[in-house]
Amino acid sequence: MTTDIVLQQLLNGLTLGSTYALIALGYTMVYGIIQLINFAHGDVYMIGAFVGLTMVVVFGINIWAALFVAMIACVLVAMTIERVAYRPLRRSTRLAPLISSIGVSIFLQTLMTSMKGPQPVGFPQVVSNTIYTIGPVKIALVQIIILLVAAALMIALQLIVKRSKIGKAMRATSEDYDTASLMGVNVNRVISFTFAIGAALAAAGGVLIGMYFNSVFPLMGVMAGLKAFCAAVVGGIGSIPGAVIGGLFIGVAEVFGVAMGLGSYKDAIAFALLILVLLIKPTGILGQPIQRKV
Amino acid sequence: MEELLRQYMNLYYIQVLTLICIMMIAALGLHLITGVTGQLSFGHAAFVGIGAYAAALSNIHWGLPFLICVLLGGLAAALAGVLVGFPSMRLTGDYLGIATLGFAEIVRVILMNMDITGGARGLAGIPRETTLVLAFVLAAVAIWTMYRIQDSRFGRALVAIREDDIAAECNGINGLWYKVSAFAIGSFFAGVAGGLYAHFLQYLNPSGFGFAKSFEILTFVVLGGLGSIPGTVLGTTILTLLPEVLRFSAEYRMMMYGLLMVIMMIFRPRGLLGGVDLLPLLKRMLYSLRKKQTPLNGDGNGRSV
Amino acid sequence: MSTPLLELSGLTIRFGGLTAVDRLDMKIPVSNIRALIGPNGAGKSTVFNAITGIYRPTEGRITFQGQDITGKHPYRISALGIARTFQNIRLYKTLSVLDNVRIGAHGIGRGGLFGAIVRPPGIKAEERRINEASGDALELVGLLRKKDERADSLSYGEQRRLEIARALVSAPQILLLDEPAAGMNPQEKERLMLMIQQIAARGVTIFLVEHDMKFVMALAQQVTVLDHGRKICTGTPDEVQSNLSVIEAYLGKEEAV
Repeated sequence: MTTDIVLQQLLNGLTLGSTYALIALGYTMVYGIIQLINFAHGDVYMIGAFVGLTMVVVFGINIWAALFVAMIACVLVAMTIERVAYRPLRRSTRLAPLISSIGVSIFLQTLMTSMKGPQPVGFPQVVSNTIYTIGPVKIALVQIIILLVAAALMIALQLIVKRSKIGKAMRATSEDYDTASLMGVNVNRVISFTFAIGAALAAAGGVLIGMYFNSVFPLMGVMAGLKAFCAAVVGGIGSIPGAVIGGLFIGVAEVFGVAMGLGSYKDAIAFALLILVLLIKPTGILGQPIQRKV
Repeated sequence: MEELLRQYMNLYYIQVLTLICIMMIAALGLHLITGVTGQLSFGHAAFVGIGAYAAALSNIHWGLPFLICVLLGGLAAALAGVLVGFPSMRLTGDYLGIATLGFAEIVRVILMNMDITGGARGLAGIPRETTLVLAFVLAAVAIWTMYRIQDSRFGRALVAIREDDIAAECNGINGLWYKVSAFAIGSFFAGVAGGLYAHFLQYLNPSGFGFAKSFEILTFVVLGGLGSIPGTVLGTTILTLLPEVLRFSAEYRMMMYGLLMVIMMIFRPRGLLGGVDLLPLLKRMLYSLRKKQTPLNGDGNGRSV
Repeated sequence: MSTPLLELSGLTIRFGGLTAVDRLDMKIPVSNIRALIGPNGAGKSTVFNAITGIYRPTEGRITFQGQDITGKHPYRISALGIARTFQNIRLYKTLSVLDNVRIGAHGIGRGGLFGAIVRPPGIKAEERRINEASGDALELVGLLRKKDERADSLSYGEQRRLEIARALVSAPQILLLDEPAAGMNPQEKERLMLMIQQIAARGVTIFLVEHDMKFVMALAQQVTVLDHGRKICTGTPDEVQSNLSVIEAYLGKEEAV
């Protein structure tokens, strides 16, 4: 493998990985705050893609407006899901919210399948097909857009979490739910907000992927969701930078795997990395080891 | 026997009942792992799949007797359970669940890519060997075995691990050994179910043993009541019947299934029989029924009871 | 001088930058009632956790009956005859009182999966022995009549007694009690003291951690004082009580708070 090819694949991997990272952030933030693996999150990503598609194809608006609408729509969807299917179970057994999230996931997938059919639907070419050459690598315009949008969203997230009042509330609730609530934090609002941001990012990821591969399908959230979840764990579940690193790492690993001939096993790459990390350092790349109090 | 049944019952009912019995065996395996020992496993269907393929292939390629094939399926799954369980059991709670999920997906992808399993096209032409009678008998044996396990020193050790693994260790229980054992036994059950399933459906596809199936089995166990054998039986029965009952709107039936799960969790999160000790409850119900037939004031000698 | 039953040599336990236990030396002879006292956070429970194998010592050695048990797994240490109760009560909450004790008796049995399913006569005899031993242990702590109740339905004091029964049923050589009197009223404490004395009279060595000074002074034959992980002094209750540094450690802690 020559350096040129390595760099090219690295670029492709980072592009794919950025979308995984956008989804992974939602998983990691929700887990960090209420220790729930939100299985329906991947389907929110899928809904984002479809809303974006519908906006462009049916309403003919430009892609940026469509992206915005998709994000808003998914924010509403996610907040509704949280309110209806998770909040009542917050004080319940550990498995109940998990089962509930699976139920929601199944519901969303089958809803979309019954509305649109299981076949992939074409996503129109909304950006020009231009390919730029920078030294040894070729980069498509759409890849530049994905990387820039993803980066912008992640920076925005970082600013919100580190600098804003609600961000502080999020971090406090993540750290210690009960204390935060006793200190006057409106935990319900904070949790809703967490779901909202995660959904917005995932929605963006969905639209970007639609632009990248020019197709969307109702079950696209399943595999992408699982892989993004692996990314969140690999990077360190609960850690925002971890989700980004995990996402990029898995994206790159997948692309390199395919390039090295593991094409038909590509879906297993994320899971293999997941198991590897869990066996070596379960708390992930950036995770803190937890000490049990006896 | 089967022919006798077919004369009295609609073939469709026989099919459904057979499926319920098969799924019950798999669900009981997960019940042991998650309900009794408290270890989260999101990849149970992978073991069903391993058992299914092992059984089917030993029948097709080696022509072994059917029951031996099913046994081999169970053993293959149990072996896989040990291989997966051993490294994973050091993990706790959600991490373990995630690891088993990852493992299950890897198994699915491998099965998709092997020539001998027919890959993505699946494995067809498996002879029809599973009868309702056999499935029922094996399900009954599985239930009986589970009761025996739970009411023993071995079973108590598993429950201790679930309730408080550190206290269990201090009581002399080797957590790792028991967890891996539970995993192996639970996977054995899954493999047997898989073997029966293969010779019932006569066709296998790796996509049928992915995480969706794993979660389906998990809901059988949780819905019925985690840790309860009658609960697992009830949960499996209801949730296997449900898609059939909702068959009228095939398009919307999975949608309603998902919705139903959410509603169940909101209104009865511990499952239908969760926390309900069935035997004492039944005894009390019978007792109160009998009491109503005896006179309320006093015994025959005029003294109040 | 016979070998002590339990010996800690230079026991040191560090968590990252924090030294919880610092070069602790202790010798506990057979049939002793030894108390470990000290302010909160002095490292007392950590010592227990190290002895029972939950924490691995960073340095030092733990010897039991002449055998080195440093860093062994808890289940092996339990089999050697060391039993314990926990500061934060770790009962098997949804199980019955009897089942809690029967699990404590795990070491009495040997039956595994085969025994569970097939139930040969040997296993049935084993179960009878376990049930008998469990009944005896419950009788000793006065909980036999509640044997079928759920563990978490018991009062706090009863739960502490149940933990003791669970630890006792395996007929240990040494019983480690981690704040057994915590949260009890004076009558319960009185009863507990008598119970511990009864247990000691049966030949079980007692090693306890406690905050209640009156309780400790009345019960213990020897007292060791720990502060910030270091042994301050050791001796009979009277000797320790009058020792100035002990008083300082307690006073200092109160002022800091």
